[in-house]
Amino acid sequence: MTDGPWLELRSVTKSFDGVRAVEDVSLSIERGEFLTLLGASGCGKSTTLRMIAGLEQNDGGEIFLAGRAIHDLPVHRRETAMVFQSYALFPHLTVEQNVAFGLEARHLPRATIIDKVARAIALVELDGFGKRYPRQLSGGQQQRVALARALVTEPKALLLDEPLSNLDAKLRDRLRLELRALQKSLGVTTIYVTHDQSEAMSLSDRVAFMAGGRIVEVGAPQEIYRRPRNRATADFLGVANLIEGRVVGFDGAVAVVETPAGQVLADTSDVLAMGEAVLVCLRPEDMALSPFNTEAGLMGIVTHVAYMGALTDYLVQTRELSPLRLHVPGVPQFAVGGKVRVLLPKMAAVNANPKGQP
Amino acid sequence: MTTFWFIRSPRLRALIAVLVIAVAVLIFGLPIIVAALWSLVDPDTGWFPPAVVPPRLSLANWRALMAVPEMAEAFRLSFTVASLVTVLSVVLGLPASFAIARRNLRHRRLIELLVLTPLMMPSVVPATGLGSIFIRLGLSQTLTGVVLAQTIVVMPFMIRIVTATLSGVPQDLIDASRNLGAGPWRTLRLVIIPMIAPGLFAGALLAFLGSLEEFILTFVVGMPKIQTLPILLWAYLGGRSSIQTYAAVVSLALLAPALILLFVAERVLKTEHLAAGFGKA
Amino acid sequence: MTNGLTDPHRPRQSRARQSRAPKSHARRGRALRDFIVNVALLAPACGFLFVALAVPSVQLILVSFGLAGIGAKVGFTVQYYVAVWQDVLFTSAFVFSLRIAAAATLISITFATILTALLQVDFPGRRLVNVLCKVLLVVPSLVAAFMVLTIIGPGGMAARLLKPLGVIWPSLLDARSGIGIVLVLLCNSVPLTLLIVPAVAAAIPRDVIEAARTLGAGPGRVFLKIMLPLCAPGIGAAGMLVFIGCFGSLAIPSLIGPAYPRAISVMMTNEFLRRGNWGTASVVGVAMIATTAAVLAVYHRLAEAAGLRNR
Repeated sequence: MTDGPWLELRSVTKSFDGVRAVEDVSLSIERGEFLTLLGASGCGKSTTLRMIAGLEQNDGGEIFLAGRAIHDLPVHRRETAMVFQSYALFPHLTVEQNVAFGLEARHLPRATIIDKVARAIALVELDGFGKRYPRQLSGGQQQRVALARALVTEPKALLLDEPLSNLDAKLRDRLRLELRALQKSLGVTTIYVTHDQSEAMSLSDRVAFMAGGRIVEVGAPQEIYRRPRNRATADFLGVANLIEGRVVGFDGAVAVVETPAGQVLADTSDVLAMGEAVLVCLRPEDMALSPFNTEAGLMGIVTHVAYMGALTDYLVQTRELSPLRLHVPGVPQFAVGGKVRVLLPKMAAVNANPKGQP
Repeated sequence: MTTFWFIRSPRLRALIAVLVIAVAVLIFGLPIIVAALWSLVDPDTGWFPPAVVPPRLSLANWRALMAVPEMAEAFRLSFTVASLVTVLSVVLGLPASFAIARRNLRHRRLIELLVLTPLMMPSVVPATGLGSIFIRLGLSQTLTGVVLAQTIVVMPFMIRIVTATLSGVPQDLIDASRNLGAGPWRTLRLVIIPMIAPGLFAGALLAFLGSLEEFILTFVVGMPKIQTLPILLWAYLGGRSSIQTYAAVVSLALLAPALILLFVAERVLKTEHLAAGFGKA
Repeated sequence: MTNGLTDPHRPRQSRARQSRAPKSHARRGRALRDFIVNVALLAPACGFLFVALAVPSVQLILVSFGLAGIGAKVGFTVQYYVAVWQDVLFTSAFVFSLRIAAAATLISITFATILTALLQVDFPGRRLVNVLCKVLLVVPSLVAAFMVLTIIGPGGMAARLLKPLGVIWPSLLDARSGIGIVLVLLCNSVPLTLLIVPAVAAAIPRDVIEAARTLGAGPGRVFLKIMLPLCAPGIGAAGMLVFIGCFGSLAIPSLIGPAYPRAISVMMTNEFLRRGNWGTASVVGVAMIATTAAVLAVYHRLAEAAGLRNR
C-alpha cells in the first residue's frame, strides 16, 4: 500500500508542565510487526504510546500511520485501538455490546456488526459469554474481551498498555502465548508497552528500550539481549556482569579486548577503534564454574548460592573483578565459601559505550 | 476533573473565554450590583421604575441594620444558632460517621437510610410534626427548639460528607499504623484525623452554612419569637410587608459570610466531598 | 463510595463466618464488645434522628386521624382526610406543587447534563465555572430568590432595561403556570445538580473514556453512549433531591406565585399557623410523605430496571 514504514515517529517530544516526558523519539515500525516499548516506569513509554493513539498531543515531531500524518487528527480518527491495563471495559454494556462499540462508531451495517462481533468473540474463545456483563467475568476473560473489542475494529495499529500486568503469573503466561499467536495470524501491527523484560523478549519482533524519555536502543530480542550497545540496556534486560576493557587488537572481524580478567574476543555490531574503552557484557548463563583444582579460569570464592529450580544462582567474588552473577543449570554443586574457578566464554558481547549514554 | 477534548484554535479559545466570563458576570455580577444598589437607595427618594440607577444613594439602610432592633437581633441569633447547630452536628455526627465508614455493622443499609431520610423528605413534614410536639414540650419558639430542629436536616449532610472522607482512608494505612505499634486512639489521632481533616472541615462548614440559610423548620418551630436572618428576609420580601431596601441589606449580610467562608475554604472543599454530602449515591 | 465502605470489611465478615463453629468465650466477648462500641458510636446521631423523625411522623399520623388533637376533641375520625380530599384548593395545590417540582427537576438536570458535557472540553474558564458552581451552592436560597426577584420581578432590572427598547417585560411572578416560582427555585436546584452530576461524571475511570475514543467514537458518541449511561444514577439521585426539595418548598411559593393555586406547603402551614387547624395540616403532611415515598419508589423501580445494566 505504501512505501516505507507503516508507522513512523519522527522526533516526537512531549513535556508535562515543563518536564520532558518524551524527548526526540523516532521509530519506524513495519506492517504486521510486533514492537515492544520496554522501560522502567516513568521512562516515557506509555506517553509515547498515548501520543500514537492521540490521547496525548505531541509537542513536537510527526507521527505517520499507513502513509498518513496522524499527529493532528483527533483520537477517534486515527484508526488505532488501545487495550488498557485496567481493561477499561464499559461496565454498562454486555460483552457483545462492548465488542460492537467500535464497529457502531464506524457506522457499519447492523448485519456486518453482528457477524464481526460473533467472530471476534469466537477468536478470543469467549463463545457463550456474549450476553454477560464485564463484572460477571474473571480478569483473564475481561482482558480477552478488551482484546476482542480492539481487534474487531481492524485497527491500523493495535496499542497495548501493560495489558497483562493485572493478571496473575500463570494466566499472564498463557495469555502472552495466545496474544502472540493471535497477532501473528491477524498480522496486525502492534505496539506493546511493558516494564517486564521477559514479556518484551518473548512477544516481540523488536524491542525498543526506553530510558529518561528517549529510545536508548532498538533491536530484535536476541540482539538487544546478547549484544546490548548500552550499559542501561544491558542492566535492564536480565542480569549483566559488566567488565570494563580496552581494544588491544583485531583478529579478522572480531576485536581483542584486554580486561582485568584477561583477553576476550569481542562480538559486537559497533565499529571499534584501536585503544577504545569498551564494556564487556557477560550474561550469567555465559559462564561456567569448575572445581578449584582445575587449571583454567579465574579463581573465586562463592559468596551466595540460591537454588532456583531449573538452575542455580551463584555470586562469586574473584580477585580481578567485581562480584559475578552466574546461572548454572541443575542443582547446587558448590556451597557458600567454597573455592571455585570461573570459566569465561571465548567470545563475549562488547559495547563501545562504557558511559552508558545513548 | 479531567478533560478529554481540546480546542486548539486560539481565536476560538479567546472567544469562549470572553463568553464564559460574560455569562458569569451576568449571572453573578449583575444581581449583586443590583442588590448593592437597592441596599444604598435613599429612603427619602426611593428607586422607582424606569430609573436604572437610584437617584440618590445613602447608607441609611445599612445603619438600620444596627439600629433596627429586629435586624441586629436576627444577625446575632442566626450566628448563635448556626454555631450551636454545627457543634451539635459534629459531636453527634462524627462517631456515627466513623461507625458507618469503618466499622463492621450488621444493619449498615438501615442506618444509611436513616441518615438519608431527612434529605428525602420535604422538611415541612417533620417541621409540622415537630411544631405540634414542641408546643407541648414548651420548646416552640425557643432557641433550643430551633437548634434541635435544624440539626435534623443539617447533620445528615455532615455525616455523609465525613463518612465519604473516612471511607477514603486506605485500610492499609490504618493497618500499618496498628502494625507499627500504635493503639486505636493513637491511630485515630495521628493517622485518621489528619487525613479526614479536610472532609471534616467541609462538613462543619456546610453545616454552618446550612443552618444559616435554613428556613422551613425555623419558620414553623421558631415563629414569631425566633427570627433568624432568612426569616427576616422572608418578612421583608413580602411575607409580612415588603421592604425591598431592608431585604437588600439582609441579603448582602447573609451572603457575605457564606462567600467569605467559601473563599477561605475553596481549596479544601473538594467537589467529591460536597457531592457525597448531597446524596450522590 | 460504596466501594471504600464495604471492601475493608469483607474479609472480616468472612472470617467471622468461618469462625462460627468453634465459638470460644474470648470470641463471644469480642463480638459483644464490638457491638457495644458500635451502639455507643451510633446511638447519639441515630437515636436523635430516629426520635426526631419517628415521633413527629407518628404524631402527624395520629393528629391526622384526630387521635392527638391540639385544641380539638380527641377521637378517631377521617373527617380531615375527607375534608382535604373534597377541597379543590388542596387537590389543585397538590397538582400545582407536583408540576412545579417536575418542571424544576427537568430543567435543572438538563442544565447539569449539558454542563457536564461541556466540562469534558478543555475550554478556557473551566476553573471559573467550577468555582462559580460552589459559590451558587452556598448562596442562601432566599438571598438567591431576592436577587432573582430584583432582576425578573415587576419593576426589576430586566423590565427597566428593556423599557427603552420598547419591550414590555412579562409579569412572570404571578403567572398561573407557576413559571415565576420555578425560575426562582431553579437558582437553588441548579447548583445542587451542577455539583452532583459533574462529580459523578468525573468519577468515571479515565481509561473507559479513552478506550471509547480510541475505538473511534467522537465526542457526541462518547457522551451519549458512555458518559450519560454511567452518570444516570447520579442524575437520578440529583433529580430526586431537587424534586423533593421543590415539592416541599415553602419560602418562595409563599412570597410569589398566583393567588390560586397555592403550593401545597403554603396551604399546609397556613392551615396550622393561621387557623390552628393541625388536623388538616397533618393530613396534608401524611399525603406529602406518601407522595414522596411513591415518587422515590417509582424512581427506585426505574433505576433498578435500568440499573441491571449499570452496576
